[in-house]
Amino acid sequence: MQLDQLDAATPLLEAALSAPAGTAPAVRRELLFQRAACALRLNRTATAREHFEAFAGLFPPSTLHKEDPSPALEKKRLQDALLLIARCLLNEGRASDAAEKAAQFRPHLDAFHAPEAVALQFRALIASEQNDRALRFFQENEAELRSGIAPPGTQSCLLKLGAQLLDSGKPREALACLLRGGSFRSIATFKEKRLETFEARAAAEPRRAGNTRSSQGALPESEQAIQSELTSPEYCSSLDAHTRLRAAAAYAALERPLEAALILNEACRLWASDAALLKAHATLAAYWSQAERWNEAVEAAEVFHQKCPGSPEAPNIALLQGAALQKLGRLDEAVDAFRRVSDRFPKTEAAARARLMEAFVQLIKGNAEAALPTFETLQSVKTAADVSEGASFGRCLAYALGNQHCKCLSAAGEYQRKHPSGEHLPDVQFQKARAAHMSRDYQTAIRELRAFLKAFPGHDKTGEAGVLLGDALLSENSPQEAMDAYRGVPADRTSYEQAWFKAAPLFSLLHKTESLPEHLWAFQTDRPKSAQLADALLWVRKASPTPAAEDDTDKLFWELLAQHGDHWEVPAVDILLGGLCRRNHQPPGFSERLDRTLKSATTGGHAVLRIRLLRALARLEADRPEESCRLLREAMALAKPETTSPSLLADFGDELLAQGDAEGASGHWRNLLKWHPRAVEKDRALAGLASAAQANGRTHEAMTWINRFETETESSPLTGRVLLKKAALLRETGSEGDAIRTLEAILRQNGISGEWKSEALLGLAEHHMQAGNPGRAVPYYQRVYTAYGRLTGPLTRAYLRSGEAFEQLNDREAARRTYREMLERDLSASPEAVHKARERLHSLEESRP
Amino acid sequence: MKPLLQRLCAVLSAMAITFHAAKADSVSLANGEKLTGRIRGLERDAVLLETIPVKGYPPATQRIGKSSIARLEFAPDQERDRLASHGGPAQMGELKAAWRELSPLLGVPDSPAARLGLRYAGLLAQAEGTEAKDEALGIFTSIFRQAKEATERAAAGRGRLRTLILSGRHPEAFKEAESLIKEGADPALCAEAHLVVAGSHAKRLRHHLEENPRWREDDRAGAERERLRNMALDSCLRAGLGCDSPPELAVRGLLGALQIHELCGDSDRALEIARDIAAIYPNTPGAQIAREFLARAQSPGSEASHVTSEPDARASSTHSHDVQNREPEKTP
Repeated sequence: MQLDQLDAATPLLEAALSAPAGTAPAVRRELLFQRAACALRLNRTATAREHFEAFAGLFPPSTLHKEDPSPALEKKRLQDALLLIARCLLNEGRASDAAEKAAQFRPHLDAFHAPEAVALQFRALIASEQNDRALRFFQENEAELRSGIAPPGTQSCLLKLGAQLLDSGKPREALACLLRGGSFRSIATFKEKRLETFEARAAAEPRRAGNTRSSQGALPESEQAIQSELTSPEYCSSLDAHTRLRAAAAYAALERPLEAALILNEACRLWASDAALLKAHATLAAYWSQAERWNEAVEAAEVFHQKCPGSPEAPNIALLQGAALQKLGRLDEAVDAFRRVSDRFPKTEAAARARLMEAFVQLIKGNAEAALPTFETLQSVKTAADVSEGASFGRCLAYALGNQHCKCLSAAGEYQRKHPSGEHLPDVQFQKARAAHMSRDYQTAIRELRAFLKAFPGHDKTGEAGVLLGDALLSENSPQEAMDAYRGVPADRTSYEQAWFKAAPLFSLLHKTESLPEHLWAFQTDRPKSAQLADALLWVRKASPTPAAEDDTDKLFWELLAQHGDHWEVPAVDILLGGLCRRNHQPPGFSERLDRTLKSATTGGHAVLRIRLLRALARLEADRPEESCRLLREAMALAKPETTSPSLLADFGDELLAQGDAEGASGHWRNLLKWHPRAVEKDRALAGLASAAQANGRTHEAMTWINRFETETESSPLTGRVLLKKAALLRETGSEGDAIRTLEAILRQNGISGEWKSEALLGLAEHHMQAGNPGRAVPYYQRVYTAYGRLTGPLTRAYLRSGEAFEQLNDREAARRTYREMLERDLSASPEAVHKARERLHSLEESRP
Repeated sequence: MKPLLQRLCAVLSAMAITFHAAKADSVSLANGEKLTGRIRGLERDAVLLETIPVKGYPPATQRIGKSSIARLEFAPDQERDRLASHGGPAQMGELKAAWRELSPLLGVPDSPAARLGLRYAGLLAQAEGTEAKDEALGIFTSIFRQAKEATERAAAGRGRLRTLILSGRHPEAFKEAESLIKEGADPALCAEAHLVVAGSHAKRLRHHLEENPRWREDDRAGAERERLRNMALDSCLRAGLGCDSPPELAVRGLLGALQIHELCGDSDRALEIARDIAAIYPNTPGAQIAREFLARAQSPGSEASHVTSEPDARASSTHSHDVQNREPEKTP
């Protein structure tokens, strides 16, 4: 056997065993063991197992007990045999039996044999696909399993078990294996370390003869396994890559694309050259996309295209990339990406889809003309059903957006014929009705709109359809029906207010003014939080034909106050209170009634109403500043920012700033931004915060608020003032160029009033004056007094500075003309400026040759 | 791989042999001579070797010039090993002395200096006062720069990060963590760095949510919340799912992700993560936290089950286990 001549050794062992009785039992047992070992080394697994079983059968069950007096070598042989029986069973394909066997004897093994039995039982459980038991076993014996260095390693076993669990629909259990394996690098380092320890110890001790592993029946397959595990060139990264691929798949199965993407992303980075991971870049792009991480999806798609240019997945990934770019709002790039798909892969299914998507992106870009030819083509060629339907719908939409209403009407009809149960049928039906309305074909519009409202009562567009139907009926001279259509708009639709205000005048037309309060009450019940409720009330009051009816609307106001006064989110209360308090003539007994209501609000603990009333009373007391201030302070003390209307918070800020308390004012404005980010008063808060910061010399902070003002508020009446402030700050910080650009921006914006535009012109002129270019300043001054002649302040400044500029240019005649022109105007409101102009003119006249 | 294979086979063959450890350190000189004893450190340019010249007599210290030394070998020493592995606050004095003695030999292969230093610095980091923490940082830095073993360098890097957090030097820790991630440091160190980064992002997210309780009504605040949430979540999950992240750090990462979901009112995803932790790391303290979280979520009216989509509700049942901002409990 030592010479490895096993075929020769077998008959010798058999002969020795069949020798006549008299052989010592210990020798006989050794012979039996060696015979089994010999069979095993000859790969006669079943025979070997039988021999080992025969050998083990010679020992009573108590042999492995601690107190058993059997010699140590015999105990060792028995444990080897038991392990080898289990291993043979595993190799024979009887994994379940092997697992049972190992479980049976494992508790009796010594510290040397036990770890091998643990590893063996684990492998057997996996091989017999007792997946749940195997996982439990791993979790109970993790430390022992990890401490072993013999292959197959725990990582391989965990990969196999994880894969089996994943295949059997248990992804989370699979993760419990796949995420616990560790990488080959870490395992190799661990094994290396342990080997070093063993080597060091082995070097310190002389080897005892006959105590080698091979003489104990070490298995040749063990070494083969070592070979395959440690010497395979692709083994390391492949095992890691496959483990991570499966872990990502397990997360994907749990519908957790983010986790899947992060795992795959790391794997692709760590083992960039691994063949298994090349294809994974496509999956990675898909996972990022599912996780709605569009930037990462675009990036992964690009890497995929670089690494796998000829992959059959390429068209789909390119489509995905285009969709991700569209989501990111990078529409031009999305168009290019879709176009690349149809150019590079013209014969694929993806090409038609890409063209469809490209056309829809053109629609989003507002380029209906560019989209139409694609929709037309796709509709006529043979493609997938959903692409064809999408193209048909897109065509209808493109005509609608391009204001080609007749064509839209016919395109919609075509869609209805071709796709009677199509996905976009409701939208097409609506577009058809709208197109008829826009073409002034009101009869068709009425028919189509009624059909739409009947067929799709829950559709988003029902509000708009109701308004259109009302308009069409009105055009057909059916005011009663029109009113019914307007009043039929559901309260949860955005068009409700529009419909209400369209219905209101019809009450007069139909001589039903007495029903207006009822109409108003419907508004208050349906949409109490609408800011337009106040306008509605004021409108009804104005439309009331008699003082009695006016009284009725006043009653409505007080009822509104009683019902919604304590609801901070009903802005109509603040608007009405503000409006009524600013008016010169309040309704009779208004102030007294406010007082009474305040008392009852205080007793009733209605804090919000109390704050509103205090604010209103403070306004009424404007002539008595101390009392007004006291009332306002009381209101501020009560106000909780989260339940105080933004208009009140903005007022508080303004009042405090007016009193010189910039910090207190900032607190209210900050609270407004924090608790009411969508409030229309946001512009006041941002502008106020910028002013407060500027007042305290915090230029950088002021600029931050101004930048927010510019990006977050649209068409605010404060824009001109804020931009002028910005220009001033820029000038302070030495950014003259940016200051000029800001002033020019003020001039370009339509919504900014002359008050601020004239200041911008003066600012631009001043820049040229300071730069020593009076000639360039003059046109700006001239624009002020030609375009904004009614604004006395800027006008006088412009004249005076313009005169100075001419004087600097030594054009005395022009200077004289300018001063004279100024004095010819009615500028009695600015006597100082007039006086100065006179002085300058006099001086110029005197110095005339 | 070949040498490893051969060595593995040799070791498998020798595994039955009983060993007992050799006790003496050795100094191999350039002239071939080998001296044994106990290495007691480095003084100026000489290695100090403690020997017992005559049995029964007290030890003598021999000074051996560095230039004449070819190799130093440290023998296993149970007492030193125990100190390095289990030394607690009561052994601070011994650890300090051992570190002072051996720290000059940090760069010597198999030197126990790094292990002793890691233990000592870990205890210093937990101690009260800035001075102790600064000393810990100094020791971790030395080990990080000089130790031969990659695992010891990584442990020192982790120690540095944790000590910076314990010292309240968050920005410095964040910067260092980011650069470690960029460099692609050791997996455990990377995981620790991801946790530091996650902690910083989570803190910013929490602050942002406090400042913008009605972020749903504000596109700007909503976008910023999304950005911060993604950054915090990614960092937590990178630590939690990273290849070779040590289990305790992986669990901290996953618990962090759970908290981020909870903070953002995404209770379904928080529950999913809790289920992951309980299934993947069932025998860890983190799994216990996850199981408690799941139990609370299942009982109606519980705190955890309140964590729903309400944007203002940020009461969190796991806040007591604040993973990102929790100061590390274990010594590195």
